[in-house]
Amino acid sequence: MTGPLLQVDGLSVAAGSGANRRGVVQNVDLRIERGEVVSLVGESGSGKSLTALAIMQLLPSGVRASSGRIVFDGVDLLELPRRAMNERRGRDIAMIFQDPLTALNPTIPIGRQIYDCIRTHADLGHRGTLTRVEELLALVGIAHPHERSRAYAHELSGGMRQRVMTALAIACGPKLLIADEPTTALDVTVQAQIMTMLDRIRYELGLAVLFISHNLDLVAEICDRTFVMYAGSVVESGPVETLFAAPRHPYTRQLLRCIPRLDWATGPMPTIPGLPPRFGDLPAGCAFAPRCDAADARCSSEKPPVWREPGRMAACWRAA
Amino acid sequence: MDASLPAIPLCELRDIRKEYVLRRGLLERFNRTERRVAAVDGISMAIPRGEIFGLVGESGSGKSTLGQIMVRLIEPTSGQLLYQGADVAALSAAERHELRHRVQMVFQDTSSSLNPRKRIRRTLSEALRARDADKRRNTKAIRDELASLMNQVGLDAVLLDRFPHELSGGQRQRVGIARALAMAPELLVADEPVSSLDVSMQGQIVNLLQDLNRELGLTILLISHDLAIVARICGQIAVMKDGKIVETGPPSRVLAAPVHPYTRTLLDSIPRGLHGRQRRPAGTEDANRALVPARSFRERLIPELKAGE
Repeated sequence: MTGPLLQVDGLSVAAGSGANRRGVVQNVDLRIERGEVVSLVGESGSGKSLTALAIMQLLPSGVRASSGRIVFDGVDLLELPRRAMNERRGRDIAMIFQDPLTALNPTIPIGRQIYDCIRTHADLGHRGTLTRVEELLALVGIAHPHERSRAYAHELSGGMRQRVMTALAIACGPKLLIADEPTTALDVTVQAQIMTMLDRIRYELGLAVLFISHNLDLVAEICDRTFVMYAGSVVESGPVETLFAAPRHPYTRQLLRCIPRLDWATGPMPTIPGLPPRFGDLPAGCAFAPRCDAADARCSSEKPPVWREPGRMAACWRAA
Repeated sequence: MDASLPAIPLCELRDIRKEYVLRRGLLERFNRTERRVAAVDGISMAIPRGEIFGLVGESGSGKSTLGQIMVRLIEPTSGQLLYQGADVAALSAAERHELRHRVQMVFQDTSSSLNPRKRIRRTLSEALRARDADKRRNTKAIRDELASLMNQVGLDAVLLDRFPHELSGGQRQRVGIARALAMAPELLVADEPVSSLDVSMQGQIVNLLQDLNRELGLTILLISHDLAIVARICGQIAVMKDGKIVETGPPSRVLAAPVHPYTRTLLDSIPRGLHGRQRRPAGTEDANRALVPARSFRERLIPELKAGE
């Protein structure tokens, strides 16, 4: 099949209704090619998780996609009837969440949860499905999959749970895996293991991955392209190498500077002063202007133009 | 009194152990035997006054248990806890109560460590009233002190009338620190104070801890798994694994030339951005990406996929 795997055009998400209605994601364009690893980076409240949930059609009640298109594999997901979407969710697009303990069912053994997921989407027969469950658990690096498939989520460590959730997500061979901060709740050592595992899985299964994180250093290790979000909008995007080496948006630059690194520097750590704007409470000009170290009068009064180069964009007055 | 004795560490642990009894099975109950697991397995260390001391290790290494022992939220199974050279176990009840004020804690999860039904003003003023229950300070004095507390942690006094859910994670963590400061502590045990925060907010909290250490002479035990932060602000660090300290010293020595393989593992686990890209398994370079066979799993599954596509 040709064309990108996922093409999001002008997606806006709004919360509430009537006078209380607020835009929480504005005009997001996103493209993911087959087999590509793309990341969505930003602070909490930047709208990155809502964008992912909009793609999955799992937005919380009261929040909905108000405009735009989400074309997955040639079909606009926003136009799909609920049933058709339910068939695709889990089979063609799957998602892993930050907190596996709340995402997994505490009362059902983990193997059974994967079993149920496969039975929903495929006919392998009882024996065949059981074999597949164990294959999957082995694939995500769980030793003794036969015994472990009977364990409950609370009996496993955080890293193990994240592996189980990954097995559950890839159970039906999705084309796109959305990973929403999969390692934020984990230790650095376990985080490194999970990242290695995700990278291997993606390679072995030919998956495209949308990786959501607030840590740019982590993103750079496994991603091809990055979208940086701030206050509900994409402010910069591009291939990881160029975006990191020469960020065009001050937000990306300041975010990169904040990452704690083992560089033997002393004195205060670099920070981004202030707080991101609250949802629906955006300043007249550039949303980042109040916290920007390069802002001038024009930045706070006029919306910034979008600078474009093949494969790259940045919404900033100074990007050009 | 302590100024004349600078050699005595503020807090000292001597061969501290904390064991937990595992749930006993039927056979073990019958035989009156039990299995024990040591969360903290014979730790001795000393925290000098005025130091930011880093305690590093993965979850399950016992670092949080050790922090809770120092705050005396849990009692060690054996070993001595000394505070300014005095054995805490030998103190009178009144002295122990007084010691509670001098050792305070900041928690990792800012949303569960503040009472969601109390405004910030109430949370903080309760702490202030607890500090000198007998002096009965008047409302005006409390109000002034609240303002100065908020100022100390870099928060606008307007936020006093907010509820915790109305604040950002970084702001809540500042409130947590303000609550600890309300007791005018000498030792602050900060258990993963930034690991639930955004990268952009972590620096602000780390800088605040560093300022408090410098300006108030506050001694801080920083429990963290982030070596980069620990290396930046701690004078000394101890690396914990399986309830034991495997390596200790100034970060420049421990992290620049780690002796223990576990310290090495921790160092290798820090995401390194573009420099970390070579960690990818061979053959997954972008050029090969297009050639990656997407078959194996999905294609084996496709004939079995239910109707729909």
